[in-house]
Amino acid sequence: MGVLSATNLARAFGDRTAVDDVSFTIAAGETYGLLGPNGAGKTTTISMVCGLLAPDAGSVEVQDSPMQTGRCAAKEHLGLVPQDLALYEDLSGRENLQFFGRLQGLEGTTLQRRTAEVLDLVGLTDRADERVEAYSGGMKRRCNIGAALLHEPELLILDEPTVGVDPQSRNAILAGIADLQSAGMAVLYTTHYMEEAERLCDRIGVMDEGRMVAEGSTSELIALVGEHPVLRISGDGDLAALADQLSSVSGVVKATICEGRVDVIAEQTGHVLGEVLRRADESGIRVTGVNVDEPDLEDVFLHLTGKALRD
Amino acid sequence: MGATLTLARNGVRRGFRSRTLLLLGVVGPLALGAVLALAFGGDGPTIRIGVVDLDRSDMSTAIVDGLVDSLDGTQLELDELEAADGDLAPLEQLVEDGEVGAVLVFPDGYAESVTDEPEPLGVLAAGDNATASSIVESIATSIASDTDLQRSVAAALLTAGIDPGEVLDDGPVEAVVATEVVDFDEPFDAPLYFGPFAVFLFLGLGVTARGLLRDDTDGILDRVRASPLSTGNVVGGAATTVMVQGAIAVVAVVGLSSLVFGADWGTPGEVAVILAAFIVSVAGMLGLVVGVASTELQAESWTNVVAFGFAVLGGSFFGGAVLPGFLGFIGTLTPNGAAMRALVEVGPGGESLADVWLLIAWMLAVGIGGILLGGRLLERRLR
Repeated sequence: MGVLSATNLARAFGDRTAVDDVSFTIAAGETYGLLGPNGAGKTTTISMVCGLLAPDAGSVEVQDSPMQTGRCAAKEHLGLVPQDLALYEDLSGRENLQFFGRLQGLEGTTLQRRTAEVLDLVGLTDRADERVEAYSGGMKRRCNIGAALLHEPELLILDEPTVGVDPQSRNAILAGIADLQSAGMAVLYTTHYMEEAERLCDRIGVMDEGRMVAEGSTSELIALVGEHPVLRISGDGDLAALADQLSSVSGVVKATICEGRVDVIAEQTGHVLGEVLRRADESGIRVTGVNVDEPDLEDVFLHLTGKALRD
Repeated sequence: MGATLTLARNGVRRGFRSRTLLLLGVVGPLALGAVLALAFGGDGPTIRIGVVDLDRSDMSTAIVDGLVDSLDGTQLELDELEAADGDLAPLEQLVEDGEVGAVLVFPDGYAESVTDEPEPLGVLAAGDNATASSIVESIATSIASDTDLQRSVAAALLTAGIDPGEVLDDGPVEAVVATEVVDFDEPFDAPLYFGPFAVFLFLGLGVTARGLLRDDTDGILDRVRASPLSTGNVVGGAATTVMVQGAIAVVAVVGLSSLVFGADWGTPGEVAVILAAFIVSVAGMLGLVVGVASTELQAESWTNVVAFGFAVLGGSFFGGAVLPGFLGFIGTLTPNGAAMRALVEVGPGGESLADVWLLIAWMLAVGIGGILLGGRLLERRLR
């Protein structure tokens, strides 16, 4: 049994189905990525997992305790890092941490000790008594994560925690999450940054239009699209017509238009390259660039949903 | 309960750091209340009334002397006026000109008529000085009632073979008149301070109550609700915060207005009970606003509508004056109106707290009902 078990979750808002029959589990020490574009149902799923929204169907258990929207034992085992900076700007970092720690039932010397430890963990000890409004964006993000760690939860839920963060702070945050995972914490991580998911997540669930369309490790998901490299052709001319032509070329699995170029998935890139360039020349297309990329989660997502992850 | 107190403590702490609350909850009402008190409060304006004795009997002279003695040292200034040849026209002109607020007239033959059918006492009044008119009419009514009473007693004494002159004197007249003017004997500033305080308190505590919606927008409410607590804790925390901040504002405004400006709010214990009930009712109304509003902006607009609507209906802008007719009844149902009326009724020389229990119960019912209903609406929306 995992730390988190979400089973057949469904939720609608009026006539619109936001989440439809979504199930997944997360084990201790595992980081699970929930991937999907805006509106895919990630945040609704997380809201049900955290007990903020009641599911229309399905159930959530955290450490074998059923999750409910009111007071329940399951909430003692999770820490939530919302996408927004969920901090009081008119309080100091220390005061924020102590407040959220108290809500988790910490008090006295335990609260003081954990506050000091978390401040150290997120690198804010020196600025602990300054108001959050004086923090930089990265410091606020780190404090936002720290507020979820006071009570040492078994499950940490992070909803796009690096949005708007500079690269240096992002690296620090990702390294910190990896450390927590190493310490045995289960992590549910939503993002639409492919590189973060590939770097952090042991398993990934791909969501689109409220459904879980695929699930597995990065390599397993890539295998779903054939595990073939992608030939990317940039050029001037009717690329859509070229993509149609290339789809019928022997050895080509799929040819699509993506971000103003033709992406060709082939069993053997080297074998089709000559034919691809010949067809382009015949179509009057002036080729300006040719790249061969190993497939990644972006390709997986495109393959599974027909759209880019950031759509 | 622990989570509720944690939320409330955090809210109160943040309130102390908020200049908005300080301005709206304490500085604003104190400043406006002080201005109103300087203008209308304290010893207040002197009300000048007159009396003219056309009868010139021993009885009418005794009553006029009694009136003069009774009103000595009060805010009522009584002038003994003359009417040459019984012509009241010059006196009517004085009243019209505002030189005298109203005039009590003892008609010629008043004393002789008492034994049979008493001549009615006259009142010369102008429509634009309702206060003076009502005071003089009140005095006239009191004298007439007292005269009737004395006639009845005298008749009974005569029947019993006792000389009424040995028993009756003009004491009852003085007593009645003194009761009528007692409210003007002492400065009573509570309505002048409470009016603006009620409006500002609605606005100031509205900022705190809307914090729930702001926390929802900022994601803080999600983090709070992901903790092991109930929506009831969240609503209870917000309501407690509003009430504690309201109590602090009350202590500050009542204390400072009393110490600095010498305002008289009445008996401290009674005032505390009334204002506590008022704060609960404000918390309830604000809870309802937050429960019904979809956005913080909408809640702010509705808070303003409620604050100023209740202020107008409840007499907060008129020093406690009650609107006429049905509007007056509706005004009394508002927290502002109920509290204002209770404060005035238990003011110096007035009723006891037991006499205004219905107003206090009403405010508590509005408050508790509003908090429960607002909490239920909020809970439904969050699900």
